[in-house]
Order: sequence, then structure tokens, then C-alpha cells
Amino acid sequence: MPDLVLELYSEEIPARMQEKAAEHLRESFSLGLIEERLSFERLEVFSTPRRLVLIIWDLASHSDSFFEEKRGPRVGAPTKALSGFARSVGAKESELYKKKESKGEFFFYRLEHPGYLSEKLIGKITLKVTHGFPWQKSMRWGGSSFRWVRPLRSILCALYRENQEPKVISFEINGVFSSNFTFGHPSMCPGKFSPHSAQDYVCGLKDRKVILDFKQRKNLIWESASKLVKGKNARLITDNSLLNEVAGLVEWPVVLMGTIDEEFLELPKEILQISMREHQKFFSVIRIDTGLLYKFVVVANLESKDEGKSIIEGNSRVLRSRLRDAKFFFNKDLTEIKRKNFVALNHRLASVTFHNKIGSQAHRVKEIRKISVNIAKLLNVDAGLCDQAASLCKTDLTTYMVSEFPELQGVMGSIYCKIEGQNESIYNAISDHYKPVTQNDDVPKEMIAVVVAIADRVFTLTRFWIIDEKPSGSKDPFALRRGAISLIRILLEKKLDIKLGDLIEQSLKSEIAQDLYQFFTERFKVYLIEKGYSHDTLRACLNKKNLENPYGTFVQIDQLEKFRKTDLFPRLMDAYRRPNNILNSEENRSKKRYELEPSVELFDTTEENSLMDNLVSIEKSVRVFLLQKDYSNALQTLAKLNDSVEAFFENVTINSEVQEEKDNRLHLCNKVRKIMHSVANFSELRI
Amino acid sequence: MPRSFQEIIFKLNEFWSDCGCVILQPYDLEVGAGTFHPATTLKALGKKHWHAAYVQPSRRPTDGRYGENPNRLQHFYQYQVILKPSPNNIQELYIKSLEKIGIDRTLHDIRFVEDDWESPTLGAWGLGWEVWCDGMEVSQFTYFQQVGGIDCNPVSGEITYGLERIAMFVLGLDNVMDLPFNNPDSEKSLTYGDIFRQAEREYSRWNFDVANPEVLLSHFQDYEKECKRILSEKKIDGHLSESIVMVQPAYDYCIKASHIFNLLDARGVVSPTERQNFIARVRDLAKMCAEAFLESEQAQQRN
Repeated sequence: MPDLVLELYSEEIPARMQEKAAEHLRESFSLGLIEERLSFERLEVFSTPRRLVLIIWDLASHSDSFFEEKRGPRVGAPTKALSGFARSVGAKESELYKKKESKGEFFFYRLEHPGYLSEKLIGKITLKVTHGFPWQKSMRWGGSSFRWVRPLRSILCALYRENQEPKVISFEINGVFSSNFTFGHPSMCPGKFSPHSAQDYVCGLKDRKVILDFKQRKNLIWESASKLVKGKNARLITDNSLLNEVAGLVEWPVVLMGTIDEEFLELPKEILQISMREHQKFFSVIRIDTGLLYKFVVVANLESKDEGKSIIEGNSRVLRSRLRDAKFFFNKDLTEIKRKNFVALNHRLASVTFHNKIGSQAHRVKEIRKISVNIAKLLNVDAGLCDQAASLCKTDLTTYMVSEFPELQGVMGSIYCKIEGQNESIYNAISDHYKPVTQNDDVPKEMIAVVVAIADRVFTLTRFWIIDEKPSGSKDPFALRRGAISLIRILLEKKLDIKLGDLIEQSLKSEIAQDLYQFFTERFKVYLIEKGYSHDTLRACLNKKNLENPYGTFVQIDQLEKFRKTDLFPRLMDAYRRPNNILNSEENRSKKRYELEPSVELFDTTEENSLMDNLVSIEKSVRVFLLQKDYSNALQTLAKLNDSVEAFFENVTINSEVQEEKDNRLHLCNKVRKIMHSVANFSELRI
Repeated sequence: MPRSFQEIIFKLNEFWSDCGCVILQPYDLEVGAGTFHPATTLKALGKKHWHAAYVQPSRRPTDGRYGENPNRLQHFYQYQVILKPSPNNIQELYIKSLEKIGIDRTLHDIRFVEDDWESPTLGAWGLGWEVWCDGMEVSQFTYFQQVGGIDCNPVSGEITYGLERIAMFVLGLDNVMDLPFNNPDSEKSLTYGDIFRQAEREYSRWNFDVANPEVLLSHFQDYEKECKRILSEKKIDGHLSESIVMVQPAYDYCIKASHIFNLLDARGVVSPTERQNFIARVRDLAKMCAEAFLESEQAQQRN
């Protein structure tokens, strides 16, 4: 069976978008293949700065044919109707057959849908996938109206069969016609390349200095970098997100090492590391004996004629000029701090606006301090230290270093406090209260930092809600969504059992607070869905309610999700469904609720009595488990209801002629449901 | 290999001229970047094809460092190329232009790193990259999507070379002031510093401490008013009895207002809230000019 290669060759795709795009290509193309009934053995996707690639190994030559049973007129209908039906499906009347159904006997026809050549279908799928491709940001170019992430310049799309010429699948996207060729590395092997098989596409590109596989590039970079420092009394600082980024900036990684000028070694490590990382995407190398950061590793996209000499020189020069600036401003700050002290810089915060409708940074700090103290008390953390940390958390915004290198906010404050001899938990809090900045970032470690981190986000979110500058659609200029996610992550990962209502002060008007809770609930859901929790588990635990206690709800969701994978889950659902179904229909019909405590005197059967006994004891233990937030045991306990519920439904007829008895049985059903709902709303769950 | 700053300019002119571009001269008003030249801002609008290249002296008052910083200047040169519609081989052309000024792509690591450009004052944005050469940012490469709040169709490709940086890179120097401006072997050789250091000192002092904020502020208001007045004039010219929409004169006042705002900003008299406000006011002018330009172009086509 043939293999298919589809390569969308464009100008440089931003590193952060490549992997997601490849994944989307995989999903949407697989879906297209399924829709078209095209079977295949294996499908792979790749991305480089210039290419988005899909390879399908062993693709069927035809889509699967299938039969569709078309129902025609009822047997005995006028002959005109019959001949009309035969014509509409393209059949002779003799080819029709009769079949009985619940509604009577009808004429039928087996309509065959033939398979189509894969050549025809691939182009169709590709066009569908590429138009409206969900790039985070896309653009037009030249005279086009087609959108892609950057201009699309060439398309290779061909089927490769053993010992045969490649078969180009021809189509056109925005003036680019599909072909059987691609290009090698843009600087080293810029010529055209026409592979003769899918395997040759991968290998031939490697010969032309293109490594298609992102992971392979990543490994290569890390291995080469490790090799460079090996045996040199040096250690490379791990940095996975930087590694991901640089692997998306090169097709042929060439790892080179350069030296930082002596005169900059006195600068704090963090300054060197962050400015190298943020501005130049360098990895840092530490000397093991002195602990000094003394070299950098740069990843180039070129095997140059002079073995990287010019590349290292050029990069060193850029670094030198940046560090010269850094050193100048660092010393300027130090002079000032030594003259007074660090906290004295706080007076300048009054003239720095945080937001014109909210107030200055000084106001922000004052409020963060207040909130920190409150939270510290809630969490039993030293309120005095939290207050002190909060009072210094934004001071560095007025330093020269942070005005020149904004990415050093927090870090500089921490460094200056350390130099001043402040308490360690305070200077750590100054740098760590910004965490987590990105998805891969950790939450703060120490509790002082945790408290200030929460306070900072609570301040920002509530104040922006008060002035009604909420995120809408794609617009979130103050990164409030990220702020909310960070806050949720801190609460969950630090296992902080507190209510949102205790964090968000009483001063907030109730409708604003409600709106903010709703926003939190949404963010919370999005976050957990991304973590792989299922939609219906979330619904069962949140169920239209707003999130009250994020950590508590998370534990509930987590344990329910795990419980759903056990054998007990179907038993619990059986015990839930029958009483719930009958209640739903009775409630609908009678427009009544059956919320009274069932009365034992009206029980007529042993099954009613034993279900009731069971309920009473289970209710007790469930209540205890819930108090301990032990959802797992609560769920296991609920599953125990299964036997007595089943016996009840087997042996008791709810529809008693005595209305009182019937109602009482429904009250009993309701009691089952009520206990169940105290743990989660199981009506939301699929089995 | 070029030996001086001016030779790099000559070579770029020659290269882009050979590509069929109009080689224009700098615009005669103070601007913050080559993009402000009407040859870019206005010509990026509308349907007409347009290929031009020019040097644009640019001023960023806040970047003044009294001539003491090896990389930063309040007055510098940009080399600007605008190709409309953006041709399919635009990246290749750009790389060839680098080769023309001595940057060999088999020796130097040239990279296109995501950087989307936006000018809030012009109501303009585009997608593209900053171009790195051995880790140094040497150009900005942008496909204009909007100018003056109006969708660009066709789309222009804009390439902006930071001339001083490129020259430092090509000539292997660490300080901009040491750049040979003309032939370094000539008896009459001068460096960049010989020509501009004193001016940097003077402007830095004036920009930061001496410029008169009241005067600047009233200029800003006057320019804003004048720009709007020009555009609100009736379209028919009194002498020719034909429609003449005065887009360029109006746009001049938009540019002037923008520069005055930059001066106020450097002078440190603009609070962050006012900042947004000033930017929005200039953007409004830019949008009005963009709309008038389109209207005028359409009127010309009808005639």
C-alpha cells in the first residue's frame, strides 16, 4: 500500500506554535480520513521552523465501500410511489425487497456507496484542514485572502508506491500548487529535493541538514551541550522551556559554547542567567568549583565554514553590550541602596501608576499588605513576616535594573534584599510571589511567598473586576485569566483548604463577587479539562454551582474521576439510576417533590425496611467521610446501596393503589437520591 | 566588503534599485521610524503596487545617552524597504541584500525569530520577525495587516534595517561612535562619533531637561487641530475647481504631533494615563489620514 507525504512549507513558524499545529494536523487529518473511510496503518506528524509535515504509512488506495439500507414506501402503497422510490435510488423495482418493521412492512433497497481513490480524497481533506486552520495568530500576504501563520511557499503532497514514480496529489492553496519536491536547509542545502519514497523524504532531508522530528532535535541539542561541558569542571543549567523554544528555532541544531567576559562574573548569577535566556536564548554554564556562571551555550542553525567561530564572536559581542548595560545599572542601584536602604525606594512607588482607575503601585502595595495579613491569619502563617515581604514585593519596580530589564522584576528585589541582609523567607518571597508565571513554572515553595502570591492575585483580580475591565473574547490585556489560573494552581498544589469567599474581601459588591466567582469557576474547569479530567466528572461536582472551595472541589473531582475507573462505579450508578429515573418521571407528571422523610409505619415489605435501615447507616458514615473530605470512601459506601436498591425494585411495586404508600416509596427513592447528591450529582455522569 | 557606514547604504541602494525599487530620499520631518514616511504609511494603503527603499533618519528622544552608550542614540538611521504586494521571494531577496553588504549566510547564523510589530500611534500592526544575525537583531521584517486601522490589501512586506547595528556587525566594531562614516583610508576619514557625538550630547540635554513642556504641549494641540482642519476642508479646490483632498499636508501634522509627544515623553511630563491618551489622539489623526488617502485614491481612479 502507498505512503503519503504532505509537507506545508512556509516562512518561519513561531517556535511556540509548531507543536500545537502539528498536533492539530494529526487530529484533523485523522478525522478527515475516518470521515472518508480511508484506512491507514500509521500516521506521523512533524514540525520544524519551516515545515508542517504529515506522513501516512500504508494508506489504502481506495476508501471502503459500504451499503446503506434505504427505506421506501409501505407495502401496498400505490405503484407510482414504488416506481418513484426505485428511480430515486437508481434501482430496478425487481431489486427492491420487503422487510417487516415495528411500524409495518416496507420496501427496501441496499444502496452501495463505492470506494473512491485515495488520490481524490487526500486533496479534499487537505483543503478542508488547511482552510480555517486554528493558528493562534494568522496573516495574509501578497494579494491573498487565505490565512496562514506566515506565508505558505510550497506544498509537497504525493503518494509513494514501491518501484513506482511518485504520484502528486494535485490541488492548489492560494496560488501554491502541490508538487513532489521540497527544499533542504535554507542556508546549507537550499536546492530542490524530490524524494522517491516517504522514507527517502525523511532520510533525504536529514542528508540536506533538516531534522524533522522535534524531539530528536531537542535530544540532540541537550546531548551536544552536555558533551561540550563534559570534563570541564562545568555544569549546564537545565531549562526545559528554553530547550523547547530553541528546538523550534532550528532545523539543524549546532551547539556552540562561548565565554562570558571576566568583568561580568561579579554580577549576580540570576541577572546573567535571565538576560542571557530571555534576550539571546542562551543556556547557562556554571563552574563547579567556584559556582560562578562563566560560559554560555548557544544553539545555531548552521554548520558554518569556520566551525562556528564568527557565530560565537557575534553572540559574545551582543552579550557583552547587554551586560555592560546591566552592570552599569546594577551599580547605580547599589549606590542608591547603600546610601539609604532598599525599603526607602518605596516612596517612589507613589508616582508609578499601576492602573489609572485603580491607583499607584504604592496603593497596590498597601492593599497587598492588608490582604496578605488576612490570608496569613487564615493559613496560620507568620503575619508579621508576610506583611514585611508584601511591603517589599514591588519595591524593585523603581530600580534602574527593572526599568531596563523588566523581566528581572522580583529577582532584583530579592537580590537587593539579600545584599542588605534581610531574612531569607522575605527575599525569597519577593522573587517567588510572581510564580507560577508560565504553565511549566512551579508554584512558590515557602508559605510566606505563597501568601503574598495569593494576595497579589486577589488584589489584581478584584480591582479589575471593580473597574469592570474584565477579559473578553481574545482580549485579556492584563492577563487576568493567567492570574486566576495561577491562583487556582497555588491553592490546589499547596493543598490550601480555604474558601474563595474568605479570600475575596467582603467589601466587594455581591453581584461583582458573583461574577468573579463565575469567572473562577470557568477557569477552574478549563484548567482541569486541560489536565485531562472529564467534562462530566466536573459537571457532577460543580453542577451549575459556583466554585466555593477550589481545593475541596478538586479533591472531590479527583477522587470521583479515580472511582469511575473502579468496578464499584457501575454498581453505584445502578443504585442511583433506578430511583432517580422513577422520581424524575413522577415529579414531571405530578409536579410534586417527594422530599419528606419516609415513614416507617407505611412500609409494607421487608425490602423497604432493609433499604431504609441501610440508608440510615450509610447516611451517617457518608456524612463523616464528607467532613473529612474523604470522597473515595464516601463513594465506596454509596456503592453498597446497590443490593438493597436492587432488591427493593425487584420486589416492591412503587405504583401502589394506596396513594399514601406510593408517595412514601417515592420519598424513599428520594432519600437514596439525596444521599447520593450529597457526594456528587450522578445524573451528569456517563458510564 | 563595505568599509564604511555610507558604503553600506550605497550597496543597499544599489541592491534594491536593481530589484526595481524606487530609491527615495528621507522624509523631511522628524519621525520615530522609517515606517512614518508617507512612502510607507500611506502607500501601504489602497490597491496600487509600490516598491520603494530609502534611508530614514529617525528620532527617539528617550533613547538619548549623551553619546556615551556604545549602542544607543536618540538620532539614528533606518533603511526601509517596502514591497507591495509582498513578493513570494521576499525573504530570499532580503538574505541576498545581506550578502551584498558582506553578511555571508554560510558563515553567519541568520534567524527569523517571531516578533509581531505594532505601532499604536499609527493604528498599524503586522506579523513577522526580528531577524537575528549571530544573536544580534539586525532587522525587523513585517507583513502589514493594518495601517491606520484599515486592512491592507494587498499586503505590503516591510523590511527595516537598523543601519548602525548592521554596520557595527559588518565592520566588527563594538561602539557606534567608532564606525567609519566614509572611507577610513582616505585622508578625510571621519567616524560616526566625529559627526554625531556632539549632537547626541546636545539633544540628550535638551530632550531630557531643557525642552519647554508648555511650548511642546501647545504645539501638540496646534498640530492636532491643524491636521483635523486640513481634512475637514471642502474637497473642491478654489483655483482648479477639482477635488484635491490634502492628505499629505494633514499627515505631516500627524507626524509632527507624534514627534512632539515623543519629546514630551522624554521630558518626563507624561503620566502613564496621559500617555495612553496622547497615543490615542495621534492614532485618531493617523486613522483620519488613512481614510482620506483611500477616499482620495478612489476619487483619482474614477477620474
